[in-house]
Order: sequence, then structure tokens, then C-alpha cells
Amino acid sequence: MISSQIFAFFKRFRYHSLLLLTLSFPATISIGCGPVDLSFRGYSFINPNILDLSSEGAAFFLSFREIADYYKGPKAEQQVGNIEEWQQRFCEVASLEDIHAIVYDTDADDMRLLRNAMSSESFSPPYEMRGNLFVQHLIQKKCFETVDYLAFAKECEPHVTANEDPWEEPAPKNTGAMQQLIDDGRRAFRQTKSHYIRLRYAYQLIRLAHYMGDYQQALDLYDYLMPKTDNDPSIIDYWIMGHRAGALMGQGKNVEASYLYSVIFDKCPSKRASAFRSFRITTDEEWKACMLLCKTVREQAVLHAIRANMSHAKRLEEMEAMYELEPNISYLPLILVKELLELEKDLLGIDFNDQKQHNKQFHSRPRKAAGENVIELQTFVRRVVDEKKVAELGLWAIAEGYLELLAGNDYFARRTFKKARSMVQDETLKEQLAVWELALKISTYQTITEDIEKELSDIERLNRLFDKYPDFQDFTNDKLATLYRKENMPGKAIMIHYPFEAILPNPQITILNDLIEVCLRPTRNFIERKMVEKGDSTIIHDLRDAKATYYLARGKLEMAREAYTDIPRPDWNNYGIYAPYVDRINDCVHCRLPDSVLTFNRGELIEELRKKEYEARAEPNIEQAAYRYYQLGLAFYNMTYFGPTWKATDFFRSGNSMSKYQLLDAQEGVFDHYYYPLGNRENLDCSEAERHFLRVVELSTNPELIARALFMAAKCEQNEYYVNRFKGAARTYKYFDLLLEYKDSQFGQRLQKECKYFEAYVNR
Amino acid sequence: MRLLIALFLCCCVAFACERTHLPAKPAFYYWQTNVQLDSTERAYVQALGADRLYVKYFDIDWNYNRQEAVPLASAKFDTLTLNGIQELVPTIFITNRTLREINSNKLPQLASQLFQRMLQIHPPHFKIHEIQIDCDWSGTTRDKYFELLRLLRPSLEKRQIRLSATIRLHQIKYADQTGIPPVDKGLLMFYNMGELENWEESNSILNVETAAQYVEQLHEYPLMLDLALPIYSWGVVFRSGKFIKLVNQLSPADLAGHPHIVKITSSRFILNKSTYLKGYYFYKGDQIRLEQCHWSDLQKAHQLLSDKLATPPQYVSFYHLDSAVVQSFTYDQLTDLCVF
Repeated sequence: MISSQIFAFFKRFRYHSLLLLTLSFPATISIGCGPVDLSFRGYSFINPNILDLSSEGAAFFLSFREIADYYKGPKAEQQVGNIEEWQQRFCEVASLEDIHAIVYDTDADDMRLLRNAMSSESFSPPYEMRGNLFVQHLIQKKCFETVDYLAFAKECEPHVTANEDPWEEPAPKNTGAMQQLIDDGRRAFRQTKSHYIRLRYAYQLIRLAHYMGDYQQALDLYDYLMPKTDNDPSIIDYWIMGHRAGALMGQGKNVEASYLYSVIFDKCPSKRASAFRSFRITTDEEWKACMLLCKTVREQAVLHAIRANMSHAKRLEEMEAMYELEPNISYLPLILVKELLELEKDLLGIDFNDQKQHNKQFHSRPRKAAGENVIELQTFVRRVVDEKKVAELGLWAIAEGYLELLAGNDYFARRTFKKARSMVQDETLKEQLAVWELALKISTYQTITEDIEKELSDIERLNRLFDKYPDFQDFTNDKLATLYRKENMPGKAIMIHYPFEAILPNPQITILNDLIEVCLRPTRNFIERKMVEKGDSTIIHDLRDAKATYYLARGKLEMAREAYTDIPRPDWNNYGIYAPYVDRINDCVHCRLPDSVLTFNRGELIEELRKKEYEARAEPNIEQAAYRYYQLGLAFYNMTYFGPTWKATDFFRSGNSMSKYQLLDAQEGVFDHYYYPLGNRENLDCSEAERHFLRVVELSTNPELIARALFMAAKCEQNEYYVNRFKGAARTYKYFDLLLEYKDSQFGQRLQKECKYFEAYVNR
Repeated sequence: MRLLIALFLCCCVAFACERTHLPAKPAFYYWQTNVQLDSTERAYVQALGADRLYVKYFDIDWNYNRQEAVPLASAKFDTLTLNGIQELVPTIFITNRTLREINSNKLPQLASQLFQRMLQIHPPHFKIHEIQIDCDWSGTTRDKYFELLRLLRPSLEKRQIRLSATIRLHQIKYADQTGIPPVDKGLLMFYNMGELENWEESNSILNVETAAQYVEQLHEYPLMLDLALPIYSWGVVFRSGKFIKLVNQLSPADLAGHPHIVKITSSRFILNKSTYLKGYYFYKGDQIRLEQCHWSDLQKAHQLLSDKLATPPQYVSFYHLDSAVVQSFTYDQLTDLCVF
């Protein structure tokens, strides 16, 4: 699983420049942020601009990043709406910033100082207000009513706003002061000529009464004040409506209240979220009563729109009801796209998405009912298209095709897209159609041929949609990987996703051969070039070296040499220098080696070991032969995980591989690893070395050499135990037992001084 | 010799009697924000002699906008309705994500805020002997959680208030990984033990067979433990095969005879038409698993715990006090569950 998490990292890393280039547009749902990223890993080809992002509820219903940017959240929305309205009412004489500074960043004292400045030239407005065009306008036009209102609103504010510090105990409501403000406000309301300012007073008074918990007074104030305001439509009307609804809810009249909330939800973006949260219908009877309160079928359809946005709602049922009531309600396409986004997550590329296990584990995708849902939605969308009652027929027509694509009905999807072309006029919709047709084309390839590779290369290089919609890269790569695997091209299947370095910790001969074959081709297509070309050349020698390393790790010297045959000798030094004959009592993987040790590059090392094997076999002098076997044993030991020359047979070694959980999870020496899709193979097997040391014991009569060989064999025995100790292996000491006979040799004496383990064994 | 044997047998009988007849004190959890007992609840509490109430004073959750821990849903007391209650145990629920997100250097501040907030909320006429922290901590949040508990101690000790923590079953079984919280005592929550989100689960509230797998080592748990037993019911709702919500206090009466609800088995139901139920909107095809605590299951749980607890609990708390809930059990039944 861990390694699968990293697959995406590599994929993204490889194409990071492309991804960065295209991050901003359009939305993608598969962006991750590193190895432990658990976010969903799929593709999205839905362009949010097919919807009117400024339409009612766009931000509320959908979660595209673009829409989130479009709106900055409810609080910001409320402030922006308020400031914009002040600006409009004052004929745009001041900037939004200047108005914001006065409305939100001042207190009642500031307003009183401002009023003084308006009354007499001998007073100046507060220093911070000088230069503020809104203030200048208020002074110039003697807008006393506005300033008095703003001062009043500042007085009300502490009574109706929550503590900034959530840990602070809410101060008890000062109902006396609140009532006094209501009384003062009523007087001011009566004295105010501007109907707009009257409306704002009405808002402050009704809000105060609502927050006092005096719901009846709030409703009475509404009935008394609102007929006395005659202003142009304002967002304040809806803010007032919200408090009226709150008061009704407080009196237990949740049907009436919910109806009002539904109107606010529909008409007032700045209060949409809070109206949605406050909407509360709890029985079938209440729902029916609420429907009856609606003045139009559109209002009834809005009730379904609200319910469609409840968590886990069956949106299709609500869409059907909305469509029956008001086919052209703007929420319908929003909910359609919301459903498409969900089904896209479930089903798009499900046959070839290499992250589907991840999505299943961490996101329960696809949902159990996804197949059923896509068919049900298809039926509804077809009906909408057939009945032609909606204005945005083109959107529904292409959506039908996309649903067919998601359902795996490629033939019908192609046919539907073709038919839809004539119904789509809007440029964004035309692009959306082209994108979905491209996704269909890529997803329906059944095999891979030179021509198809060329076609895909051309799409990748030349189709502007490929760059514009960032998920196309991953989508195409995943599809290609599946086809390559199907056509027995394992090298290309993996290189389509990962850089060459990612496969080295556990190289596979089939993969290396496949890639060598690509390198040897006289011509390569764009995809192949990306895989194997390196500057003016290819990675062919790297592949041959990896192949040789693979064989060397398994003691297959002839095959290793064969793999090196076509690497020119001058290039052999490109692949490291190794010291196979280091002879130490204590293993030390990272210790510095003395300058005197014999070193070889990998090609030479292979030749050296072949020569040594031949010499050992051919040597007439038994002791000499035994010594050569000892050297071979050393070389093979040093090239394992436990020796200082491990790099000769492995491209990556992890110290963590010896931990309990790693050893228990490892499959035949291959460990899962974050960065490597094929895992990390560690050369834990010392049997080749052990075999050579035993040959020494068999041949030699020299007690010193036998002692050395037995000690090295004991290390092999110990390593085998270490590797298998968590799987129930027993610790054995068969070579230590044999070594006891040689404890008085010079090496045996040295061993007892330098190897505490052996010393303890001798003295046990 | 006979005399010695007789004496020995008498001692055995005496000890045995003591063990089986030492009653724990009954108590209740109260999990509503408005702490206002109705007459049924008051009568029940008084008849049972439960003078201790564990009240959820507030939750602490992580606010991602503010990037800080914040208190939510603070309790509001109507103390006139708490006649007969001698002791309130302030219980504070902390979400695990709060501990996951909070920086360790903010823990002293959080401990102080928690303590002050608790005092602000606590009605003055009730003395505090104990406060309880409820948190389903995990291996990754353990250190921060335990540090928070340690940081709370000095303020509590000054007022001679004991600190307790809720302990879940998995924290008993995997005590070596989840650790032992640094508190005066624990309270074993003997409920919510099944696979809630699996439709095939028979009863996720109380499943004694499942519980048995978790309490093998209970006698070795190094904290003194009180006990909380469930007496609530709920409906577990599945939509399109996926768990979507819990409907608290759903009873068989709510489902029986409902025109749009079809009974599949004694505890499983399906909606044949979309409808509102208990304030929620259900869609056609929704499935409901009704989960209740039956007296027989509680008896089995009691027996299991009697066998496994090293020492009898001082308190047995019932989760939770609600007139509709408690009426499902007689006083005698709940009293029996307090005898260890």
C-alpha cells in the first residue's frame, strides 16, 4: 500500500512542470501533496465554467476551486454585499475600501466625532478618516441621518455579536440596554426621512429584539416598521427576513420560519449558508404545509433544492421533483453537475486507474450504488433532453453522453456526443464536449499499436485540451500502462509512469529487456523517446548495467558478463568502483575502506570473479585453490546486504529493512518502499558466500584459513537467523561449534579478543 | 484441625459474600446541552438513589479557520430541576483531531482554558469532587493527551478535585500501545463496541461476544475503573448500502405501524416511500438497523465484567439519563447491575 501511495508521487514528480503550468485551470480532483497524501486519486474532466458561476447557489452547491475563489466565504460575502450596497446608494462616490473602513473599522465615538465635524467647521473628523472619500461625501452632503444611523449601529453591535474569544464566557444579555436601544431606535426611525436608512434601523431593531429572545417584539417591530419603509429592493430586506424567521422559529413556528429561510436561500447569497442551516422541517405534514406557503412553483422547487443539498441526499429524487415544478430553475444544472462530479469520481477510468485500490481503501470509491445511480441519472437526463423543457439543453445533451461514458457504454456515448454537437452553441459547452469526446477516445483503445502510440503522442503534443485539462496526462498514462501490460510490454508499462531510477532497487529482467528493445529500435515515437532517451543517446547502457547487476546479485557471472558485452569498456567506469576482498571481523557497511584494497568497476569485478572461479577450479595446489575459494566467499559476502560492497549488486539499501515489521512484510527479500513501485530488493542471501567458505573448509588443511572460513560461514549462519528470526527461525551455532576446534589458532585467538560474541560462546 | 478448616471456610464464605454483595453507587450520564431534568428523570434518579450526574459541560474541537482548539456546545443549567442530585461530574469531550492538530506548546494554554471554562459553567451550589475528560485518543495523539492531563492536575489538586478519564475497550486490549492515562481513575465505557458502519452488524452498542475479546486482560489494567453501561437505543441508517447517520432514541414504537416502513427482521427495516421520521428525511430504499440494549445483554455484560474486573467499580454510570430511555428498565434491574 505504501508503495502504491508513492506511485502517484513519482507520476506527479515526473510531470511536475506540466502540472504546475496547468494547475490553475480547470479544476482537478486528484492533486496530491506527497508520499503520505491520502487524497482521492482519479481524474476530472468537468469544466466549472459550463455553469454560470454567479448563478444562485453555484458556490453553495459545488466545490470547484474556481467557485471557492469566486466567493470568499459567508462572512466575507455578507460584508461585501453590505459595502457594495452602501456604495450603490451613495452613487459610487467612494471606493469599497473607504466605505469598508467607515462601516466596519470605526466605533460609535468615531461616528460622534464625525457628526461634530459635520455640524461645525471648527471640529475635524478623526485623523484616520481624513482623506476617506466616503467621509468627505458625508460631510459635504451633510448626511446626518447616515452618520447617526452608523453611530446607532455601533451602539447595537456589542449586544448582537459573539465574543471574539471562543473561550470567553458570553456576557449575560443586557436586556435593559437592548430594550433602551430599541426604544431609541424607534424614535430615530420615526425621525429619519431616508427610507433606506429607515430600513437599516428596522434591521437593527428587529435583530436586537430577536437576540433578546423577545420573539413577539421582533415580530411586532417587523409588522410596525416594515410598512413604513419604502425603499428599492435591498439585501437588508433579506437580513431582516432572517431575523423574522428566527423569531418565528423561536416561537415554534418552524414551518413559517423555514419558508422564509427558503426565500432567503434563494434570493440572498450573503445569507444563503445560514438560511440553509436554519431551515428545519421535521415531518411530512410540515413539508406539505411549507409547500403550501410557497407563492410560486419556483419557490416550491427551491425547497427541493435545499433538501438536495442536505448531506447524503438522494439528489436525483429532488431533481425530479424540481424538474416537475420548474424545469428551468437554475439549481437544476448545478445539482446535475454535482452528481456528475460524484459519478466521475466513482467510475471514470475505473478499468485502468492504477490507484483504484487506494480510492477504495481511503474514499470508499466507487460507492456501492454507483452503477445503479449512473443508470438512474441517465434515465432522468434522457427524459430532460427528450422533453426539451430546459433552456440549457446542450448541457443536458452532452451530460447524457458523459453518463454513458461513465457507465461504460462507449458506443452510445459516441453516438450521443455526435448528436449533441448540433445542440451546443455555447463555446464553453463546445469545449466541454470536445474534452469528453477526447476522454472517450482515450478510454476506448483496446490494444496498442505503433499507430495508436503515434496518435496518442500527437494528442499529447498537439491537442491544446491535453494541456488545459491536467488530468489527461495521468488518464492517458494509466490507460497506456494497462494496454502495455496487456500486450506484454512490461518495460513501457512501468516507464510510462516512473523514471528509470524508480525501478532499479528491484530490477526485473523482463522490464529491462523490453526497454533495451525499445532503445535498439532505429526510430522511436514521442512516448518511447520520453521513456528511454537521455540527451543525444539512450539509457541502453544503464539498462545493460542494471541487467548485469541483477545477475551478479544472483551469482550468475556468465550472464552478468554477457549483459556487459555491448557496453564499451571506457563506459564501465560510469557504474561505480567496488572493493570485493575486504576482510574484516566485524561487519561495517559504511566504514571507510583503506586505500590499499583492490578495486574494480562492475564490469571488471564480474570478470575478476569469473577468473577467480576458474582459477580456483583449475589450481593444482589445493591450499592455493582453497585460498581462492576464500576470496570468492569474501567477495560474495561483501556484496550482500551485510557487506561493505553491497553497492556492487544493489542500487538501494535501507537500514530499516532489518526492522521487525519490514522483515515480516517482505516477500522473498523484496520490501515495500515509498518511492519504488517494484519495491526494494535486499540481497539478504549469503548462501553463495557460505558455499565458497565451506569449500575452503573442505579443501584446506591450514588451521588459520579454516578458522577464517568457518568464522565467515558463521556470519552467514547468523545473518540467516537475523533475516528469519521473526518468522520463528531458531538460532543455530553449527559453525561456531566447528570453530571451537580452532580457537587456539592465531585467528581464533584474535577472534576472541575482537569478537565478543565468539568470546562469550567459547566461555559459555 | 477441624476448627481451623471451619474457620477457613467461614473466611472464604465471608470474602465471597463481600465480593458479590458490594454494591457500586449508581450514577447517570447527562448528555444534553440544556441540563434540565424532567419529573420522570428526577423521580428515576431519586428512586435509584443516584446522586451523581456526569454532565457533558462542553466539547473541545479544532477550529480549522482559527487554527485553535475551541469549546463547543456548552451546557446550560436549570439548577432548580436538579433536586436530589448531590454531585455533578463535569465531563469534557475532546476530539482526537484537536490533539492531532494542536501544537504541543499550546497545551498549557488549553489546560488552563479548559479548567477556567469548566469553572465558569459549573453551577455554584454543587461541589466538584471529580472532573472527567472523555477522549478517544490514539497512539499518535497519546503523548499530547497525556501531557494535557498532566497539565490539568495542579489546578485540580489545589481544589482537591480528582481527575478521571474515559477508557474505551480497545484501550484496554491494546494498553501497551495506547498507554495508561495519568489520572486518578478511569471509567470503562462498556458500549459502542461493534462495527457500526457494517450493515451485517447485529448490535454495535452492546455485543458481549465482541466485548469478551477486549477484556481478557482487564484485571491487569493498572487504573482503578468505574463503569459505564449503555441503556440507550438508536437507529443506524444506511443509504445505498452505506452508513449515513444515527437517529438517537429511535424505538420500536417509532417504526411499528409506520405506513412507509417495512419490517425485514426484528431489528431491520426498510423504507418503501420517502418520508420524514424523527425529524430526519428518509428516502425510499433507506435501511434502518434498530439497536437497543436488552436486559439480558446487560446481565451478560455484568457477568463478564464481574469475572474480569480486578476490583469492583465504585460507580456504575448509565448512559444516559433521558425519560424515554430510562423507562425501558426497572429500578431493580439497574440496581442489580450495580452489584459486584
